[in-house]
Amino acid sequence: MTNAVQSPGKHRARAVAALLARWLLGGLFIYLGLSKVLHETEFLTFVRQQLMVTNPFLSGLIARTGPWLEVLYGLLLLAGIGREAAAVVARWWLGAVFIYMGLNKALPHPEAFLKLVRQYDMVTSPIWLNSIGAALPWFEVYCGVLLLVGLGVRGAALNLVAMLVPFTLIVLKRALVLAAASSVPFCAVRFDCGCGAGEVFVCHKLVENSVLLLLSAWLLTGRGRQLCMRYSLFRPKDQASGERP
Amino acid sequence: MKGALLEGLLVAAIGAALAFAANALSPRGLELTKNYFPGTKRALPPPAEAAQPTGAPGVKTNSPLELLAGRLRENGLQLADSNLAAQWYRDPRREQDQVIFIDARDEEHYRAGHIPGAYHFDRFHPEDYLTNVVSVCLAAQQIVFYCNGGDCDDSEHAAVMLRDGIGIPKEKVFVYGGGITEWATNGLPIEVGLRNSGQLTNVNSSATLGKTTQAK
Repeated sequence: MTNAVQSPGKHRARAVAALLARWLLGGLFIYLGLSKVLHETEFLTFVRQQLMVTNPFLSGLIARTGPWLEVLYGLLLLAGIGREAAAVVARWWLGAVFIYMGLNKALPHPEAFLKLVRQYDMVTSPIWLNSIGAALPWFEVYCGVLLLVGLGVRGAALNLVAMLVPFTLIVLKRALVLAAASSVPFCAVRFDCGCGAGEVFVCHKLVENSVLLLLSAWLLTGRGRQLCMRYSLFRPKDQASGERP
Repeated sequence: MKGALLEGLLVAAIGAALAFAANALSPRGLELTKNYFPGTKRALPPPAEAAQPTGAPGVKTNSPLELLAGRLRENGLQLADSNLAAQWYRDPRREQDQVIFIDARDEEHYRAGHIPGAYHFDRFHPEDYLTNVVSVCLAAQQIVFYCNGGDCDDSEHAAVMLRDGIGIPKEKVFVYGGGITEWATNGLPIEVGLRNSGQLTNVNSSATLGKTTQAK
């Protein structure tokens, strides 16, 4: 992060790119929140079945307030208010999502995830296939824990970016194949992509993945340093948790 | 950025080690060297996985059943259609385990509902089921494997695994392609819980929808 050597033009271009990314992220959060508001019953079913919140009051509360919190978060991002706090929230949210997704794949039926990995035809060797099926869910949990506690944040975020980019592309590829094979509109394609949340409509999944990707990239730029156990693994704690460069 | 890259590599290395360790320690962890998918690989994604909006045209390619029959032939297996499966279910030889059904799904799905009297064999955890199925498979004249139907191929892999593992003659081995989904849609009885629990339900019949009845 050597700001001093950057030319004004380059600095301006980066600032514009960051602004556009923030607006895009804000817009996507608003879209995700409103889509849940409009499909409250489906979201309530998701909360009860996938998140396993069986208490009617609690599941109802989550289903009613969660989407509006997403909308509010999107608005804050659009307006650029409290960006550092928003980045910390992003880190926690991202961590929680990956812990949940990872555990959902790793337990109690890792073989179900293995079958889903196989459908992408990424590898043919059983050892490679089994390695992906066995390690990837736990690796997601691990990255999620790192983000949640604030340990090696940029390293964890980089790994999430490295996982999300290819995974999003192969989901897109498979959805295109399914759409072509079944002669249905692309956004009507619904399948279990192995994301840990069961069957999803592909367009919604791609939006979700874009959000996860943008949040990871945001953390990679050095945001979300507050309330970290040790932001950087290579720098002393007092320096690592200090001001953003 | 270099610092982030190095940190990323360190995080990845530690994470990979921890992930494999967690898998090894997990009671449901995967065996890395085991081939969980014996037999021929599935060629095309099944069209049934896509949502069918109202008025959507049908699939123009070969029917899923034809594709399945071809793939089963490649694996030395025979396809049983719904008529054959129903006929064998009513066959008196089923009472003497001369004709048996084997449910290749996981425990949760098996307990939620299986073909009455079907044995359970989850190929991902064969050690838990082999003792129950080996002797009956060797003695049976016809063995019908099934899973959910549609894109589910657990029945094929389970059939290949058991056939090759314990030496069942291939003439005896059938795969019911429609699986439990087609079975239920056809209004045939479903047994809930353990094998021979006696709790029968017919998910397609409005008279017994959602109810369980005690078998006679």
